[in-house]
Amino acid sequence: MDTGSTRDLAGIKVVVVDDNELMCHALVTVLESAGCDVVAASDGFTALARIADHRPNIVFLDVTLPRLDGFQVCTILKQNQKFSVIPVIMFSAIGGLSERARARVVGADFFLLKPLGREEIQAVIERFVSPAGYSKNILSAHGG
Amino acid sequence: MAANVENYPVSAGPDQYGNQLYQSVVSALNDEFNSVGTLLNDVVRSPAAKTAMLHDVDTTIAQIANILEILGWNNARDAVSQQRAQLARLGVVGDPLRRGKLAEDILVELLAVASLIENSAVGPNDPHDESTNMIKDPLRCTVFAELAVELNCVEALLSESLVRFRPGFLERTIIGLRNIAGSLYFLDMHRAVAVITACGASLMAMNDAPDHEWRLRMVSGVLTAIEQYLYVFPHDPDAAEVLLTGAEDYLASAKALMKTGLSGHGYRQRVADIEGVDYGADMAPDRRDNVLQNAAGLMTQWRISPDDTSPAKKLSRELHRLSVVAAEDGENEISHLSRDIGMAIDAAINSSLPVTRNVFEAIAYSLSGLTRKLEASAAPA
Repeated sequence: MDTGSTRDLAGIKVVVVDDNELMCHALVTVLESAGCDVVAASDGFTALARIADHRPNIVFLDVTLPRLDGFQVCTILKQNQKFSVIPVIMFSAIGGLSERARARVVGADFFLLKPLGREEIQAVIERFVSPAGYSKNILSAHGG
Repeated sequence: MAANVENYPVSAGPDQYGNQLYQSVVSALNDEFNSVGTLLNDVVRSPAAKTAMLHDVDTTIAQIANILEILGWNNARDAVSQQRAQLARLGVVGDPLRRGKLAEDILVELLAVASLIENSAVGPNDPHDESTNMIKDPLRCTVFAELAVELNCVEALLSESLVRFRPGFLERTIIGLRNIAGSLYFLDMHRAVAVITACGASLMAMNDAPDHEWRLRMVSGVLTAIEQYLYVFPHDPDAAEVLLTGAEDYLASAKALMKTGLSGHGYRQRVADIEGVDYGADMAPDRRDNVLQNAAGLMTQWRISPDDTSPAKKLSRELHRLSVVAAEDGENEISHLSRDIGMAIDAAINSSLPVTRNVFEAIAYSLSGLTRKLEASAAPA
């Protein structure tokens, strides 16, 4: 990935949640090639465990998921004091007015339309993950 | 649809007609809010906001406001009614992007009201749903339900592993425990998270330990306690607290037992029982100690009065003496087992090992195993 004019994303921790295996794999590949430390989940319930374990800097969350849907997962994250600061980027293949509005209501930080482009992903991470916050998370992950 | 809702006898408020009716009204309201979303979407997608389309949206919002007024939700009614004024602006905005943004803002406000109503759908006099034993916060309820599914899966895997151990099952079990811990974390049940995490750690360390079966049974026991805890929690948090404390004590005593090595001896003894293996050592009859003849009586005395440690001390002394004698004869199995049991009893006496039923059973089981070894060593070749 050409990151010449953009920030280095190495070490940024990302959780990707998508039940579509192909889409999920594609997103993970793009993020890993940009240097991110990525963990994937295929349903909303498992996503909670991955997020609690991984303490990501940003979450990419599909709207339509089995067990708990993306709106429910986002609501749970944003209601939790420790996780509410983590940017949640919701995405959907539909992208209608209702999906966008519901994403805002549950506290999602941004909404993207599938398929997600490489530049789009990079731009979103640069916008929502500040270098300061990233460093802070790395320190806290090591008990600093 | 709104007209149907208004036909319900809800004018006296939801309390009088019970929670089921209240839920129906909330559900119908949600349908109305969703239909506003669909209508607004049509408005945004059309080249120009047509008067007829806007009228449909306005009518639906007005119906929602009326229902909220009947229910006595005046703040919600005001918030919804305000969006009718915004809707009027939508008719005069020509720029599609600005129109889309305004429509989205209107819908966000309406859905925020819908969300508040849904989350308030507990029913004033019924904080818990007796039929499902779940907390009636819809989202927590969903997480609870998924948690129950995951717990059942992990328990099934553990049962299968006890019948026939398979590494793949173990891996899936550990993942399941992580999932359970993750959802418990977001339910703010942090003590339960610690218990489940410890179970997962115990299973992860299983490859290096001789007590597979014992560990699987321990985790299974803890999961049963956690399941009961979750079942009781919505109704009786105090009783749930006792169950959780029981699970923590069980785990603590199990961990302490693992350190003494007794859990491994117990497992090996069970294998020997099943397979008929005799790994007893040949201890010379004249050097055999009759200490264990009194062991059952001493254990009973100790179990009846755990605070009186004199029977435990006597048993411990004799076990250590047996350990030394067996070691002198080169009977390492007997020596190590008697030493381990003695050390476990010492730990219980000085309170570093919790004196629980689990501990008593493990010590009793190990004493039984030691007796069998001694009997085997005494038998003529």
